Amino acid sequence: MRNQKQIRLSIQIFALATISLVGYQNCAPGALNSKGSASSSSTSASFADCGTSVCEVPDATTIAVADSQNVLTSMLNKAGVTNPSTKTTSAFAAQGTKLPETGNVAQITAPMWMAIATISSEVCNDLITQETATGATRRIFNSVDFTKGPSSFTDMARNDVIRRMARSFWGRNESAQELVLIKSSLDSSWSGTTATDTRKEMIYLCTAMMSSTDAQKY
Amino acid sequence: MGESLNTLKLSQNAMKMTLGLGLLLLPLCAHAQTVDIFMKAPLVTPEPNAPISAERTRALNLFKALTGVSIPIDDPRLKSMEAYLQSGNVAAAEHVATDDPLFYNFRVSELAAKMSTRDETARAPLTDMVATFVGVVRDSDSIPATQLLTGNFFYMADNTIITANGGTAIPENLMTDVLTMKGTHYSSITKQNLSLKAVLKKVDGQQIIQNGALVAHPDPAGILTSVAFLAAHATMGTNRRMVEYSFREFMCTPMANWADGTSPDDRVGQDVDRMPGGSPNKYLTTCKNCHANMDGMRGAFGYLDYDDGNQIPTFSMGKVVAKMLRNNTVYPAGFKMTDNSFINYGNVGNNADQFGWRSAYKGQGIAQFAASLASSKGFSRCMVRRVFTDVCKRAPAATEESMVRSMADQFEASNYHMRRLFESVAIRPECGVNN
Repeated sequence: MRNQKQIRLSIQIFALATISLVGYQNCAPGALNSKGSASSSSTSASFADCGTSVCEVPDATTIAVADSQNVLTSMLNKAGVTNPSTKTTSAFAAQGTKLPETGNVAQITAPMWMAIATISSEVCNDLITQETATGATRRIFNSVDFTKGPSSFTDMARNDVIRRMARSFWGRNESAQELVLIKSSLDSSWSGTTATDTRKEMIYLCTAMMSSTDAQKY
Repeated sequence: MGESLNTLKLSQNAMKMTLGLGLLLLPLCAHAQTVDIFMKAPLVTPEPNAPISAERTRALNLFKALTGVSIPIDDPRLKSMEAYLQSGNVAAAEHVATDDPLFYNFRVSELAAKMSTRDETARAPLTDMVATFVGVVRDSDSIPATQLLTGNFFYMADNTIITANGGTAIPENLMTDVLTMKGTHYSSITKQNLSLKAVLKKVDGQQIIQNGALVAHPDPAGILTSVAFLAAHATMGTNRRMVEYSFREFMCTPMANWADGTSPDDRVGQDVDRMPGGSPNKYLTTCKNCHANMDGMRGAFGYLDYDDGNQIPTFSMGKVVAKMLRNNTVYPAGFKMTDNSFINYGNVGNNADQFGWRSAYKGQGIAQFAASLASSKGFSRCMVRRVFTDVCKRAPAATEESMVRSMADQFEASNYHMRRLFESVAIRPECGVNN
């Protein structure tokens, strides 16, 4: 039973990572390029022969990501989590070495994104705990009933939560395509009926959006 | 009727007393300002249907670049920056970000941390050097950045502010907590997640621990004589690292970039072999290039050592320390240090241009050495490079040298105002943030 849960969790994390990496990459044009796709570059500088699928354009302004020092603080500020749990601070401490030291685009790695997803999931868990506490003011999950199963989560409510997270985490509204992608991911990943499932679904949604490129880029 | 009158009189008296008490307490209240000393995320309520202007997005980009931290697009700080940007007041918009505690705890701390250890890592902990750097940036209006190298002061946390605002007092004994790397003063600031902007205080007069007692620092030179910098570079060795890293951190010039085989080698120490592998050519073509310039200057640190056991810097007060004279039989005819004098041989050719010295080429002690760095054009250019690299997330390109030099000139004209330097860099088109 426990193994089944772990397998399911692994599949969900994989799906989440795929969404984070593939989706929501509103990168600055010409900033991050596939090797050889020089057409999008605004400079005449040649590409570094980095031997990977991602290259930094020499001397051009690149995107960068949150670095090891500010990644947690940025997440807490974006989510408005005032008192991070010990689990969150421990996760940050444990993942610290996988995070980029300076945030330079050349330091973006797969383990880095997994570390960011892990920390994001803890911050999101804290956010839900904070918003579902007695007497708490809801800022993100206004339209979510955490006492009911996900079926009570209407399309309008989904749109509202996604919009609030987009503004908080990405600094912009979501695009129509992104909205479709996110909702389709929710539909394909979650089919539970209990209140616990609602919480899990919200952690999933929040983590995917918070660990995406647009949430982490500088 | 009489009872009513009495009640009225009582009420009037009570009012007078309240007013009087209020007036008496007014000055006290004015002094008892509450300060937000903790780094805590604010609760920002998203406004799902509010439009996001181009200026709001610019504000977010500037805020992220200047503080290193991202916040929600509906944050009141961004609204305030947006209003300034819409009215064309970019400087005021930027000041919202550089006035924020996040700027000091992240952007400035990170920049200083990279300069504070041998690894040059942003993950270095908060130390007296980092705190002093942050303090100087915070107090830019009254302290020019040159005092990072020439000031006789350091920064530490103010327990009065901490305890008056809900924090727990942190260890502050200078001998056991502050002026030794064994101390927990600075790590306690991090532990409580305190705002450096709010809790740091300037302490005039650097001190060292000498024979178990606190004494005035004999040769203070800003953060160059901070405990952390000396712990990183004065430990072991022959103090050549002090010269090498002074140039790396404050002139942004690694040794290889200012090595010069034409410099005189009359100050190269007795411990440097003139016939490595039996060939004088190797010395002349390789070793001398670095040693001539480096050894010319290392005399400035002739009286300096670091006690690894107690983790404190030590000064021999007028006597060259033993480590400067070790291995003196390797080449006895080499230079034997007798005092803390130094000669700057890095003053010709490319070095003259890249450093732009404005001081005498000879001097004595760390303070004079540091002052010559601080007054050079190389120092202001280095500060521009460091800030640009941190804010813009890339080092200035070789083709942008003229931008670096022109910004360095502006920096000097602003009386080395560090906070304004961050603001000027962020709005440069080359930085790509304010577009």
